[in-house]
Amino acid sequence: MPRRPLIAVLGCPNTGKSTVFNRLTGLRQRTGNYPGVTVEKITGVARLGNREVDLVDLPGTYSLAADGPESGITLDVVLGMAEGLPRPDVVLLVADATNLRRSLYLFSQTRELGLPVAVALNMQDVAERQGERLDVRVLAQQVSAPVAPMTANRGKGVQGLRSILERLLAEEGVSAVPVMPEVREAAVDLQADLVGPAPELACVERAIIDTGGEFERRLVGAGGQKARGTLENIRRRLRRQMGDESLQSREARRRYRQVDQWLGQSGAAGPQSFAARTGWLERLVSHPVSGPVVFLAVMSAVFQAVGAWAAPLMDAISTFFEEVGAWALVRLPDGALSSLLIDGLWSGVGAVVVFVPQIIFLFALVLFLEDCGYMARASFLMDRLLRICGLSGQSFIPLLSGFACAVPAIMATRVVGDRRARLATIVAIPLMTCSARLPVYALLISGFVPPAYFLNGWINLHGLILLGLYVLGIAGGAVSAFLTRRIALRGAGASFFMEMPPFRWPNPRVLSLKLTAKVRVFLTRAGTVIAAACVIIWALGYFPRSDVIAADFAERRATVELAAEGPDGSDYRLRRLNAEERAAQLEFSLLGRVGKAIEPVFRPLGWDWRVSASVVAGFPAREVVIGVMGTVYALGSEAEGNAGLRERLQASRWPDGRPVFTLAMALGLLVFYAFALQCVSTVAVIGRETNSWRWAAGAWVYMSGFAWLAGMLTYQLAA
Amino acid sequence: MLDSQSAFASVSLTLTREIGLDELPTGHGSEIRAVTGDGQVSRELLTLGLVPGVHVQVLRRGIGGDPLEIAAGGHPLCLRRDQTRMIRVLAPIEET
Amino acid sequence: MTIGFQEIVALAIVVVIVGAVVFRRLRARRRIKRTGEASVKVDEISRRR
Repeated sequence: MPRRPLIAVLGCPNTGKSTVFNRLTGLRQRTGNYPGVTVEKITGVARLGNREVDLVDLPGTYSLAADGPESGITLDVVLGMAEGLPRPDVVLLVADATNLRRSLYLFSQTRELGLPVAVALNMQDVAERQGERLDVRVLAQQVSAPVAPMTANRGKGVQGLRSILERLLAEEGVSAVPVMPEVREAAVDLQADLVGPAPELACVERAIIDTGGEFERRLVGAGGQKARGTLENIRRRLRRQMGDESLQSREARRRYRQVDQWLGQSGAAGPQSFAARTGWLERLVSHPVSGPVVFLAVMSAVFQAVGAWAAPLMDAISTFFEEVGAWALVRLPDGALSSLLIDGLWSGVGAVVVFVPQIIFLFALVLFLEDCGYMARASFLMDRLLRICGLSGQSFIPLLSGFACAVPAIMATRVVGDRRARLATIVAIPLMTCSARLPVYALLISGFVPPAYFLNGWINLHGLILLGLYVLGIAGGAVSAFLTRRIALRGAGASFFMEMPPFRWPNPRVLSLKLTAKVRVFLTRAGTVIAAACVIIWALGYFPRSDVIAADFAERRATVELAAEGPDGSDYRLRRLNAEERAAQLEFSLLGRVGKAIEPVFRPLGWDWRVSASVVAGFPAREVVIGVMGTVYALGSEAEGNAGLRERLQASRWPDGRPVFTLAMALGLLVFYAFALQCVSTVAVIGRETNSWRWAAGAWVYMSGFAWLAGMLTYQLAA
Repeated sequence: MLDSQSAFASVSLTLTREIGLDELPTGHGSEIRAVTGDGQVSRELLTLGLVPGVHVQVLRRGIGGDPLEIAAGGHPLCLRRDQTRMIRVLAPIEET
Repeated sequence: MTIGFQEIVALAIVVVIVGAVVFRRLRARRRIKRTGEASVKVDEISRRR
């Protein structure tokens, strides 16, 4: 069977390349405002007429010049040097009709490679609305390549593109006259000189032009010092020919001259000049004084809104899960299966679902602000500040998303252009106060911090402590990022490019699509792991069981039933006995033994084995801790809720009668929770996004150690 | 603004002063003379159309003058001050 | 302890659930490896330092 033809989809960032790709293949993928959303290599199958073709979506790039292995991928794929992909039969270049110059620059490089190139002129509707009067037919003649005008997000022009691609598949490519003939000539000579397997001519050209680039590195890597010497001689000679202008400057100048000629001939409007940003809204948000004020106001509004909207829903959901669990507990026969069903599966699902409201609200607001253009301005504003700790303005949105859930937030760091800054952002995100920390905070603060009000009741100590924990997380993130950049990722940051979209009303459909994608990431990526962790923890807390304890409690139950005066009284006492039996069995179980074994480790933080066991149970997913505490502290029924658990915690004593939960211990526990990386899904996503398990393990060890140290210091200082 | 540009044309090139783009006041524009350096950073700038001969304008500045939003070839772009320093432009005539 | 039928079934369910989740993640990882999806090459940075 002959192989399917391959079409490589190439384009600058933000040209709607992924949308065109999705239109052709029918896959769905997120498109965003920032450059570089598409860093994955994605392939799909498209139907063209009666044949099927493979499409490969390349990362968005402005140029074939590469500064690292990632950007080198583009030329590799186009030249058929990428593993697992044949040489493409056609290159589809997706161009942004509203920013044609940059796209045509890439086209000018691509047309020299000898492959048939088709141009998809995307965002045609916006360009027309902006008054662009470019004649597409003339442009096609000028660039001697078929041009398909289209509006991919509305599906307009897709049919035309399909037929152009179908036609091109039958054609042979013609390479255009190179813009840098001197370099081509030198590259041919150099290629002949090189020993070993000859690199593609285009790669040699790039090696000559791009000082310090990926292809220079590869050439020198293969040819050694001799190749470096030859390369430098060639560069010196060519540079002299060009009046001491660097080759890359000359290339850019010539290509842009060519592009401007094409555009001029096609009747494109010349480059418009920009007024300084004068709209009142622009002035307000970018003013040195009002800008930060607006920023702080917007951010506090976001958090206030999320808190106010999500809290009642979260309460309702957790009450629902507890009530149904309690209801089922009474009706199901006692035993391992019903315990697994209620304490393992049902509460595991509940532990996931309860965070959905907060995640929806925070991401909805972040995406709204992103799509209306404010986030770009906020990133612009925050760049200087974030750079102090080795981050970048582009880290801002991922960091903010970290307050909902670290998993989608870490995935969102792909927008951070600079690799070092991106890694530092990934390290900082798990310290942002994610929604899963809030139940623990709420329980401990309301239970152990005395209520106090300042300024006539305007400021509440509880709220202040919560705010303090948020600030602590942010500070921890800043310090972690700083240390990461100082220790593991030294070196100057890469360049920073950001395009600021104009202010506009977001499209509700696009918004809901993006929101669904984020929530789906949480449910599938984090949710499944959280639920599985709940089940594991259930098994650890259930097995092994002691027959002695079971027999003892069976006896005590019988006594209570015999002595029962009224149905109510005995019912309550039976429930208490059941809870106590569960607690006793948990102490006997693996989890209880681990808690006891590990107690000495957490002794300096003032924790007894019960707290230690609960925290250990929380390591795979921190939200599990409350459920486990409920069992450890023999909470009668889950329906007693936080208030019941609070009382039990307050009543908890050391063997010598001192209370376990003192203010100092609670504060230490809170601080521990602020820093600890207790989330398997976060560790997994760090490993995935950094492509290195060392980073994931390092982050876990570092944050756990830091949490222990900070918790210990807090406890010792406060005690 | 227009006057200063036409005044440029009459001044011979050897007399004009080159400054970094970061020294241009907000709202002002000038012509790129060169992009210094021969490496990744200057390559990226050139690729984005910041090539000699193009008119460039400073649109806004962040707090403390960093980063900057500029427009060249009809398109706005945010850059850090270190990057804009590599873009050498003609000093506006009214400054001297 | 006495291990009855219920306990064995419960343990089997736990194993199946955890296995399913782990398998899903591993499959996703393999897919990523195949398509080269993950995008930051940390080793590359440390090597260049």
